[in-house]
Amino acid sequence: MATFTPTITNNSIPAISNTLTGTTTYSQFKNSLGQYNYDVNKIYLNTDTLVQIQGNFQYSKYDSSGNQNLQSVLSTIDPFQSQNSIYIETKDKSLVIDGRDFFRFKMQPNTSLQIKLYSERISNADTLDANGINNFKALEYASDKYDFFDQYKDIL
Amino acid sequence: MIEILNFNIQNTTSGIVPVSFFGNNSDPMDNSNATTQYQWNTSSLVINTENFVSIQFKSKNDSFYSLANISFGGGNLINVVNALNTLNIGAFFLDANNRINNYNDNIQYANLTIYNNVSNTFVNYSFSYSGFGLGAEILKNAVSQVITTSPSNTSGQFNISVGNNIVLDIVGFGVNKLTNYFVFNLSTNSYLVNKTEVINTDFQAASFVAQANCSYLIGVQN
Repeated sequence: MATFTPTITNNSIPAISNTLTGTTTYSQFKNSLGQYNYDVNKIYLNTDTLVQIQGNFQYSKYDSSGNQNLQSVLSTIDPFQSQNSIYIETKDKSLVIDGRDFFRFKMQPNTSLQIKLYSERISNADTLDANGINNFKALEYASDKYDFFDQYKDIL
Repeated sequence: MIEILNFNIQNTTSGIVPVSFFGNNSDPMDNSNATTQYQWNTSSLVINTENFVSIQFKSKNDSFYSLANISFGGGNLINVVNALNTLNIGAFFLDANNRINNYNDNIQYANLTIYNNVSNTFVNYSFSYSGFGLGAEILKNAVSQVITTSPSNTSGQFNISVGNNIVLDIVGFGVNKLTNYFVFNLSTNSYLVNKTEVINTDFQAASFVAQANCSYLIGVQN
């Protein structure tokens, strides 16, 4: 039996750095989830260590009953993978980044990994537009005055 | 319209690190960009009959540590780390020197104990408190004073036998400070005593008789 007290160090470099290309930070991206969701059609992985993409790459998804389901995005560990990059089609996996579901895998030591998600952004506003005309148009149709707001354009 | 989200991830350590991305903000397994490192130096540990691991943890906004323990089935430190990762309280990993590590800015960790939940009978103590005049002591069989501490952070353990009477005394006259004290049976996974109250006097906080095949954790924290 042994008890260990931790040494606590505030480092300047994180163990796992996660950055987005562009000016948005990973933290800002996560905070936007819920407002914006991403339906992922395809994933591109590129690494400097081959074993990184030979390993398991799991996606956790909750169903409507609240049960957690883990599915492998890389369906099997492929011993014949010989390139350091791979495209994975995920269109039929209903893989949606919504702030609740998550990716889980293991990062190899001193390794870089690029993850590109080819995704469709979904927001509540999109749903309103998809459902039909906006409120102003609806008002016009209801009052049979289809050009009611058109006259305001020049004045505004 | 198709958008491309381009993430660049780098593991800067010498260990295989479990990661969890894109979950909710409070996901303790998401260690992205965390810089606070906790390292337990387990490099010289030889696992013989040990089969359980326990760890103290708390949210950075909490006052008191909670305790989690789980069986790792014996074997080696990889099994210990794998078992810790099933607790969902953070992503633990072994570095190249066989030390257990965790990077987390939201959860704080303290003592990690690796033990046998049946054959070893011991008391593990963990004191983490402050307050002028506040002290704690553990007595074995009423006469043997095992540990006495004034306000401090200290931890350790001592062996016990079946039938030993163990007492936790708290010296707190006039301290007037909210404090948590507990006795946890590591073998049955249950608290004998777990109270949080304002300490303002000297009193006997807990007393118990060591049972067969049972080990205990005693803690005082504020």
